[in-house]
Amino acid sequence: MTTSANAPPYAPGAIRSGVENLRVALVYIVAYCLLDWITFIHPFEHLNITPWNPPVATSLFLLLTRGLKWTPLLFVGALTADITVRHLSLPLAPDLITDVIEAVVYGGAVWVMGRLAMDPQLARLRDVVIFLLVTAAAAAVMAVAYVSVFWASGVIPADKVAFLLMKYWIGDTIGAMLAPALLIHASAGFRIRIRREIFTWQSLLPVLSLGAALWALFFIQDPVLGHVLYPMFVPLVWVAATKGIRGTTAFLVVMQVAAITMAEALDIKTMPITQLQVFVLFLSWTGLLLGAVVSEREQARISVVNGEARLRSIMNTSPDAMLIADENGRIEYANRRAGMLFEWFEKSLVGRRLSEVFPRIPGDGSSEMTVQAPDGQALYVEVAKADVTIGGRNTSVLAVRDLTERKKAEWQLRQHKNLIEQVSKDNLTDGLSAVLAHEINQPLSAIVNYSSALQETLAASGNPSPKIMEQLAKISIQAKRAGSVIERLRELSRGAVLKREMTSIRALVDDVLALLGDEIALAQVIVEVNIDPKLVAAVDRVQLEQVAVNLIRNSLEALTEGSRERRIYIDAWLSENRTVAIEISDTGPGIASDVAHTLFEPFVTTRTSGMGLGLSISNSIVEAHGGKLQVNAEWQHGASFRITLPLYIGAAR
Amino acid sequence: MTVTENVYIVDDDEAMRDSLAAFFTAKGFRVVTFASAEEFLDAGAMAEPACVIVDLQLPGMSGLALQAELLRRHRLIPVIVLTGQGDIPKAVTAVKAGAVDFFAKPFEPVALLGAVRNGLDRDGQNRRNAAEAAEIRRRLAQLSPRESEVLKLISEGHPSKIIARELNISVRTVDVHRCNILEKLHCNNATALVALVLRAKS
Repeated sequence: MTTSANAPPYAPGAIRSGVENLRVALVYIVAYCLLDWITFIHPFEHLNITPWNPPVATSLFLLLTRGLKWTPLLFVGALTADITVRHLSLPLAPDLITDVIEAVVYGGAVWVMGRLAMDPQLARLRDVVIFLLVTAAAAAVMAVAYVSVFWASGVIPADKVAFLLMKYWIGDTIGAMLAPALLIHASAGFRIRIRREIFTWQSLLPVLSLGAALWALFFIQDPVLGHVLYPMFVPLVWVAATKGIRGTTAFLVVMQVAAITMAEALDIKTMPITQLQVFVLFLSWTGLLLGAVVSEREQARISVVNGEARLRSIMNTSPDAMLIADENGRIEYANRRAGMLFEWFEKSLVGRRLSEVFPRIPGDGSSEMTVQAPDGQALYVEVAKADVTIGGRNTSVLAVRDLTERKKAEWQLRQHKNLIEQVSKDNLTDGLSAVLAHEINQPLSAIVNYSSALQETLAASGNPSPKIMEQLAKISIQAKRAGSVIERLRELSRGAVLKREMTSIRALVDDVLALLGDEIALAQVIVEVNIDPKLVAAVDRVQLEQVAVNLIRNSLEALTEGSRERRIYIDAWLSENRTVAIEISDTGPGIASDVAHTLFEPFVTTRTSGMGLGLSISNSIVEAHGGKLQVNAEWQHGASFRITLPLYIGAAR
Repeated sequence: MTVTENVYIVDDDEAMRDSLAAFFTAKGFRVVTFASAEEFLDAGAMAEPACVIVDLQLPGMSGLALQAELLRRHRLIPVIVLTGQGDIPKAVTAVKAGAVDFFAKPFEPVALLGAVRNGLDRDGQNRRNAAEAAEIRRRLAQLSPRESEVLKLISEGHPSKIIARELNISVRTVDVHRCNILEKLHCNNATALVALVLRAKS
C-alpha cells in the first residue's frame, strides 16, 4: 500500500506497459492486414469472402494470449484491412457493421472458450475439440451475419447466398486453423523449438511425401480414379503419430501454404480452390485430433516415467532400508540403504526371500527384531511392514530402521544408571549405619558411664552390696556388647576406599546430566554448564557423580515448586591453593534460614519424602576427598552449593 | 587428694554429659559441663589443675576446631577427645595436634579415668614448668641492661676476656657483673646459668 501511494503519476512501469500495449496493437494490425492482403484471392465482388482467411487466427491468438479486453482492437484491425486492402470499395455502412460483428463474434468465441476452461496451449484432446467446435460455430455465425448484411444492402444477389455462405464459412474455419500453430509455437523459445523440432532430417521425409501427394493431387486426373486425395493423409498421419500436436500444427501450416501457393502459382484449373479448401479443412481436423490424442498419451507416459524416477530417488535417499517383496516373499526391489545394511548379501537382495534376510517374517505393522549377520555381528532393527495391492498383486513394503547404535547407547546409559544407583544405595546404607551407630552409641555410652558412676558411689559409701556391684558391672558389659555389635555392623557396610583417577569435571557433569535427562526435561528446567573441558581433578568419579546427582536433584525438586524462571547453573574453575571449585546454583526459592545451619546433618529434610541423608552423604563423600561442601551465600537467586576439591595432581591447562 | 582437680566436659549429648559428670564426681573430681565449644570458650579462665573431655562431633564449632582455638590462645589445658566409631581419622588428627588420648564410644569409663589422670599430671607438669619459667623471667627482669648484655655473651660461651673486648670494658668489670648476675639468678656457676637461660626460652 505504501509503495503505490508513494509512486509518482508518471511511473516508469505505467509508461512501459503503455509502450508495450501500443507495440502489441501495432503488431496485431500489421499482421492482420498483411495476412489479409496475401490471402485476398478469389474474392467475390470485392467482398472479403476468400477460400482462406487466416487473419481470423491472429484475432483469436491476440484474445487468447492477451485477454478479452483487446476485443475492440479486432474492429480496428478489420476496418484497417478494409481501408488498406480493399480501399473501401464497398458501401461504408455494411462494411462498418460487419467489422463490428466480426469483433463481437470472435470476442464471443474466445469468451466461450474461456467459459469452457480451454487451455490455450491445447495440451489435451478436450482443448482441441473445444477449439475446433467453437471456431466452426463462430465461423458459421460470422458467415450468416456477413452474407446477410451484404445481401440486405444489395451487394450479393439472392442466388449466390447459399454458395457464399459455405465459402465464407470454409474460409474462416480453415483460417482459424493457423491459431493452434501460433498458440503452441509462439511462446518462449519459439525459434529454438522451430530449429530443433521442425527443421530436422526427420521432418524431411514427411515434407517430401507431402510434395509427392500434392503433385498427385494437382497433376493426376484419371477418369476412373478422379482426384487423388488420399496420399495427403500419409504424411499427415505420420507427423501426427510421431510428433503429436506440435508437429501437426507446424505441418498443417506448411501444407496449407504449399497447397494454396501451388494452386495459385501454377494456376491449376483441375481442382476448384473451394474444393481444395474443404479437403484441407478435413485434413486439418483429422490431424489436430490425432495429434492431440498422441500428445496426451505421451504426456501421461512421461509423467509415469518421471514419477517412477522421482520415487526411486526418494527411496534411495531414505535413511531407512526399503524392501518390496511379492506375495511369495521374494524381494523385488531394495533401495541403496538396504544394500548397505545387509551388506553380507554379496550381489543383490533382489530375488532373495525375506526369510533369508530376517529370522522371522515380520507381521503387519511395526516390530523389532535382531538380525544376525554371518560374521556373528547382531543388527537390532525396527521393521515396519505394510501389505498393499499393486497392479492386482499382493505386495509387501518393508521399511527397516537400524537401531543398533541407539540400543547400544541406551544400554550403556542404563548400565551407568544402575551403577550410580548401586553406589547411591551403598552410600545410603553407609550413611544410615554411621548415623545409627553414632545415635545408638551415645546412649550406650551413657549407660556404661552411669553404671560405673553408681559403682563408684557405692564403693565410696564403704558398704557396697557385692550383688549390686556385680549386676552394675553386668549392665556395663551388656551395653558394651551392644556397642560391639554395632561396630561389627559398621565394618560390614563400610564403603570401599576411594578410587581416585584424573577425571574431566566437564565430562563428569555431562554424564550426570545425561543420567538425569528425563527428570530435567520433566521439570522443564534449563541447565547451563560453564566448565572448561580441560579442567581435571583426581576424584572418585562414581562417588562425585553421586554428589552431583544429589545436588542437582535437590535443585530440580526446588524448581518444580512453581518457580518463574527454572534454571540450574553449573560452573567449575581452578581455584586458589590448588583446588577445584564446582558450583551448582538454581533459581528456586532458596534455603530456608531455619534449616540452613543444620543442612548437612543427617535426617534434616524439607521434603515429605526421603530421609534427609542426601546432603549428609554428599558432605561425607566430599570430605573423604579432602574437600568441602558449603552453601554459597553470595548467590541471591535461589540455592547454591560449592564443592571445593584438592587437585592432588596439577590441572591440565 | 589435697588439691581439687577439675574435669571439664564438652558434649552436646545431655546423657553423655550427665553420666560422665556422675562418674567423675563419684571419683572425687570437680566437674563442669558445657553443651558446646563456644560455651566452653566463653566461660573464660578456669580453676586449675584441669583437664577437658571434648566430643569431636559438636554442632557449630567442632572438637578439632576447639582444640586449635585453645592452642591459639596459649591455653595449655590437656584435651581428651571422644569420637563416634566412624571418626577414627579425626581422632588421630587430634592426638597429633597434642590431645592426650582418644576414646571411641562406648568406652570403659575407668580407661577414660586413666587418661584424665595422665592429663592432669601433664597439666601439673605444664603449670610447674610455666611457673618456673615465669620465676626465671622475673629474675632476669631484675638485671641491669649491662648485666643482660654480659649474660647474653656468657650464655653464648664466651670467656671474660672476649666479653670485655666485645663490650669495651675491663675484664675486672666483667667479673663483677658476672658475680652480680649469679647472685640475682640464684646460680652457683656458669653451667647452671646457661641451663636456666635455656629453660626460660622454652
